[in-house]
Amino acid sequence: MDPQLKRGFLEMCVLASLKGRDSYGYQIVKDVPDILELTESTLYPLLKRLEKAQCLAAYSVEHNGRLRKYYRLTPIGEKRIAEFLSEQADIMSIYDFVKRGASR
Amino acid sequence: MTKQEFLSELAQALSGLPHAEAQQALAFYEEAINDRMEDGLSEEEAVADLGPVEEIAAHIAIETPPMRRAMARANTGSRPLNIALLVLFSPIWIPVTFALSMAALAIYLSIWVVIASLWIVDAVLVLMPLAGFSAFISLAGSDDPASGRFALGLTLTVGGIGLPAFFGVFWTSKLLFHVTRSFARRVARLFVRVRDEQGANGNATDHPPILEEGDSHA
Repeated sequence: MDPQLKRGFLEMCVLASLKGRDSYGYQIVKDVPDILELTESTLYPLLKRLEKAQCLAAYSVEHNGRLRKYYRLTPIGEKRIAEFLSEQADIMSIYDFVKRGASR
Repeated sequence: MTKQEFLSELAQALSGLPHAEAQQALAFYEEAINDRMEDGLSEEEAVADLGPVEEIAAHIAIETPPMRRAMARANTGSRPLNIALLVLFSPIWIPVTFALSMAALAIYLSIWVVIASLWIVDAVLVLMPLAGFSAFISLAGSDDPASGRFALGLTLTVGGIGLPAFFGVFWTSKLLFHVTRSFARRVARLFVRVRDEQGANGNATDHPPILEEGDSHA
């Protein structure tokens, strides 16, 4: 997949993976669709950016005698998801346009 | 590779980063290994699953601007020693920093001066016929009306060149303006992370754009 497209989708999928349930690094990597090929090395800077943009908040929880960092979706993050979804019809119209062009 | 080997290799690869940032990254990757082992992978498999250390380090380092990395590298770990070294080498670094920032400023300003002079030249060309016209009027009654007509004709020609030249000047300015912007970005990128995509921050939504690591107004 095109790296630019992938980047935007990854951001959304990471936010979506926190919807309704806080999550942690490894779980997010497992949850995000395989097609996006998310790995920890991509996830780490992404989480930092999203945290800085206040789309998510991080906190540590004790787990099996060690600390695990959890991420929680913030209202700003929720809004970001809603905006992305509201653009779906527009995005589809772009696909339709490209499809029509390709079949001509 | 064991978890400890992996972490110490990563720590080595991140030694150019500010200490707190390196620690954060190490904690993140330690957690990633522990979670994989809890998931049933062996220690070896868990480490192998994360990929090569160099690639991981590159992803982390790219988020830290060159200047902050340089400062982290220059850090001796002792505050009094840092200050002593700063003072000791101030005859070198103060003039060098000053000279470099002046050079950057001079490049930036000179591009703007070129833009301004292009506009001034074009304005002069376009306004020339006014001078030609007044020469024409003042010489009309004299014994040398031909000079007046010559001046008018010449300046009208010049003005005629000035009008289409306006578009050339406009486009050149636009181009030069982009040059100043990319130059300013290049300088800024030494200190903060700047988003590369054009217009990524220019959308008119009311949420803050996703800021890159190191952005000042988070």
